[in-house]
Amino acid sequence: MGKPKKGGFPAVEPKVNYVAIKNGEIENATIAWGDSVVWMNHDAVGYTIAGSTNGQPDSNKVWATLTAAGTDDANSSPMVFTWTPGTPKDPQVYPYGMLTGGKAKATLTVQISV
Amino acid sequence: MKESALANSEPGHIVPSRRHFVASALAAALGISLADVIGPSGLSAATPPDCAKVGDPFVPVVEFVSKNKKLSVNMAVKATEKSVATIAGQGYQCRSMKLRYYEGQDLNNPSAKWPVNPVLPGPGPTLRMRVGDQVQVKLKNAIDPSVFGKTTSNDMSCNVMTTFNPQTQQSTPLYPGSDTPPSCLHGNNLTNMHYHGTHVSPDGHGDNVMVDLTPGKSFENLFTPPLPPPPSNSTDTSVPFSMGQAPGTHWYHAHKHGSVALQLLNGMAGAMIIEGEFDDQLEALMPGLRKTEKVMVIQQIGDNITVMPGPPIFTCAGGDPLPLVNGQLQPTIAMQPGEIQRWRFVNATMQQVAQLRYQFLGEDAYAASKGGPFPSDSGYVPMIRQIAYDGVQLAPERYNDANFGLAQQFTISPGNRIDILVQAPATAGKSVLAFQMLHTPPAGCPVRPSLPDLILVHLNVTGSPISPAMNLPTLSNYPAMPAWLQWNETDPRNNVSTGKERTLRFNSDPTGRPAIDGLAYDGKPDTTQYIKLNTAEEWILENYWDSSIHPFHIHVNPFQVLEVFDPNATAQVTLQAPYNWHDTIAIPASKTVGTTITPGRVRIRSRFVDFPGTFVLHCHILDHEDRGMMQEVQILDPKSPTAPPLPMHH
Repeated sequence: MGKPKKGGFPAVEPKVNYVAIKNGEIENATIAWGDSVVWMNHDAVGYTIAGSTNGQPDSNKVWATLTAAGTDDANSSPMVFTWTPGTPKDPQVYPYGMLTGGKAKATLTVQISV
Repeated sequence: MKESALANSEPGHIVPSRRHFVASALAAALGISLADVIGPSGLSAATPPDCAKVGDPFVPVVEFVSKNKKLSVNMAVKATEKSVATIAGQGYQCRSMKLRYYEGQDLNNPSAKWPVNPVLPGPGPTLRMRVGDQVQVKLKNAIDPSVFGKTTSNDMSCNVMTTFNPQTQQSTPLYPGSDTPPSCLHGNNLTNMHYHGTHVSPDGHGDNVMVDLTPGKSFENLFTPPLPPPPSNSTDTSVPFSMGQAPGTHWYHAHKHGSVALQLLNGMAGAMIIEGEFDDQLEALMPGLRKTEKVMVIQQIGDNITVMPGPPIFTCAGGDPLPLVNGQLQPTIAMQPGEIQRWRFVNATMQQVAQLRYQFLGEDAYAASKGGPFPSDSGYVPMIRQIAYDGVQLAPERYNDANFGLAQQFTISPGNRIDILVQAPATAGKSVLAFQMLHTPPAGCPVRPSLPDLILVHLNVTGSPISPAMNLPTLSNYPAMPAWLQWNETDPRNNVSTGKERTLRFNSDPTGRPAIDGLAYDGKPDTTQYIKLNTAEEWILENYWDSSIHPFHIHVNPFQVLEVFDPNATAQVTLQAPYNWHDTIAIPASKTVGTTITPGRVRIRSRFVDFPGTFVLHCHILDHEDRGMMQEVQILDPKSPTAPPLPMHH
C-alpha cells in the first residue's frame, strides 16, 4: 500500500465517506483515520456486512445490517475509524463482505490523514 | 468490485477547475447563471469538482433586496456533493463532501437565484431590507434523507454512531451513550429557520424556532422588524417601553434543536442586512460607502460532528476546519489608496476553535511572524474603526474607545457580528487580515499538527488614490445613539431590581452533558425561564468549564454587557456606560486550581418588551446547544394570563 504519508494524525477534518452497495457489489474504499463510513444499499434486498476472518465474513465482526433500498435502515449509521495510539501508522487494509444477502467482498483501506 | 469515487477524499485526487470557479465568480457578481458564462457543457456531470483557490478575487454573495417595503423569498433546503477548500498537513486540499445548503429565489426579482454554482460551499443568499419592511420567507425542506446515513421515520430519536476497533475489527457503540432526547444529536434532516438579531415575535410565523420541518414540508415566516419607536416613548414613562429593530448586520440560520451544529457546519446560514437611519448617516458622512460595502459570512464547513468516546462524551463539531469567507479560502479584496469601505462580518461558525482574534498585518510582517503572536510592528496596514457589534451601532463614546472603535484588533465568537470601517493606506501595497485561534478543540479532538496560513482575507491596495478624499467619522460627527438604544437608569421602566439578578450557570449535567444549572434542556418547566413582559432584568452568566468558552445567545431581545470577568486573563477590561449592545457574548472559560473553580462571568441587562411568547437562550457552540446547553424563555403578558402556545417540538 506504499509508505504512510506525513500529515495530520488523526484527520484534522474528519469526514463521512459513503460506500455504495449496488447490484450485489460493494465498492472498495480508502479513507483517513478519524473518518467515518456509511454503507448505502441501493438494492432491493437487505445485507449484513461483516469484517472477514481468513477471507470470509465473520459473524463475530458484524459492522452493519442494511434493509432493502427505500426503507428506513437501507443506509447504515456512521462507523468511525478511530486510530488507536501506539498502533502502526502504515495504511491498514481491512477485508470484509456480505454475511447475509449476497457474497460480495471488498476492502476498506484506512490511512493517515494529510 | 470496483474502486469508489470516494477516493475523492484522497489528497491530490481532484484538480479543481480554475476556469469553472472564475466563471462562477463572474456569474455571481453579474447575478446571472453559470451556464450563461461558460455554456451548458460546463455543467455536465463530467465537470470535475470545483474549489475556491487561495487568493481568488472576493466574490459577493447574491443579494435579495426588499421592494415596495417587502422582502419575499423562496428558500429550499437541499443536499448535494460540494467541493470544500482547506489547508491541511500537506497544504491546499479540495475535499468532496455531501452537504445540506440553502437554495434561494428572490420573488421580487425572479432571475436572482443563489447559489449560482451548487458545487461550491458557502452561505445562503444575503437578504437586504430596511427596518419596517415585511419579511416573507417560504422555507421548504427539500432534503432527500436517503442520500445520508440511517434515519428514522420521524428523525426524533438520537443519532446512532459506532466505532471500529482496529484490534478486534469489531464495531462497538459510540453514540448516543447517556445522551437522551430532546437534547442529543438528532434530526439531521429536519429544519427550521432562526432570524438571529431580529426583534420580532417568536411565535406563530415570526422568529419561531419551535417549528420542526420534516422533509417535503414547508413553512412560511412572515414578520416585520419594527420601526424605531416615537421619541415620546423614551420620555413618557406611563406607557410600556418599546424597542425598534436595530438596523445592522444580522443573519439567519437553521435552528432545529439536535441538528443545529450539523446544519451550520454544512453551511446553512446567511447574512440578513437590515438598514436604517444609522446607515443613512454613515452614507452621508462617506458618500459611496453602500456601493463598496463587503458582507462576509465566515464559516467552517464540514459534514459531521466528531464524537469522542466517553464517558463523558465530547463533541468536536467537524474537527478543525479553516474558516472560509462566503465559501472562499482567503479571498482578495481590492481597494484604492485612501478608500474607506464598510466590512460586515457574520461569524456563522459554531466551534470553540472559532473564537478568533483578528488584526491586519502587512504581508512582510505576517511572513515574519507566521504562527506566532501578532508582531508589535504590523507594517503596511489599513486603519480600522469598529462601528457596530451584533448588528447594533456603537455609541460615539465606544467608537472613540481604545477597547472597541479605536482598537486595531477585534475578536469574534461564534454567533457574533462585527462591522468595521477599513481605510486603505494612502499608498499602494498588500496586507492580510490575520487571525489567532484563542482556543484549541477539547482534549482528544482532532487538532492541526502545524499551523497553516491563518489568514481570513488578503487586501490589495492598488490604483490611483480615491477622489474625492474620504474621511473616517470623528467623535464629533459620528452618529448619535437613538434614544431607544440608550438606557436611562432613572427611568422606572428600566428598573432592574438590583440584588435580584437572575444567575445562569453554564456547566454539565451528572452525565457530563453540556447543561445550564446542571440540567440538560428537557422542554419542561425546570429548564425554562419565565419573565414578565415589559420588565428589565440584570443577569449573571457563569461558565464552569475550563476547557471552553460558552457564547451566550438569547433570541428576540438584545442586551447590554456590563461586565466581563475572565479568570485566566492577567488584566480585566472595565466596561463603562454607555454599554455595548449584543445578542451573543462569550462567557470566558473558568480557571481551575486544585479543586477550586473560578467561573468566567458576564453581567448583562435587558428589556423584555414588545413581544410575549416562547423562544430560547443557549450556548452558540452549537453542539453544546444540541446536547442540552439551552433553555426555553417564556415572556408572559400579565394582562393576558393565557400562556403562549406550547412548543411544537422537543
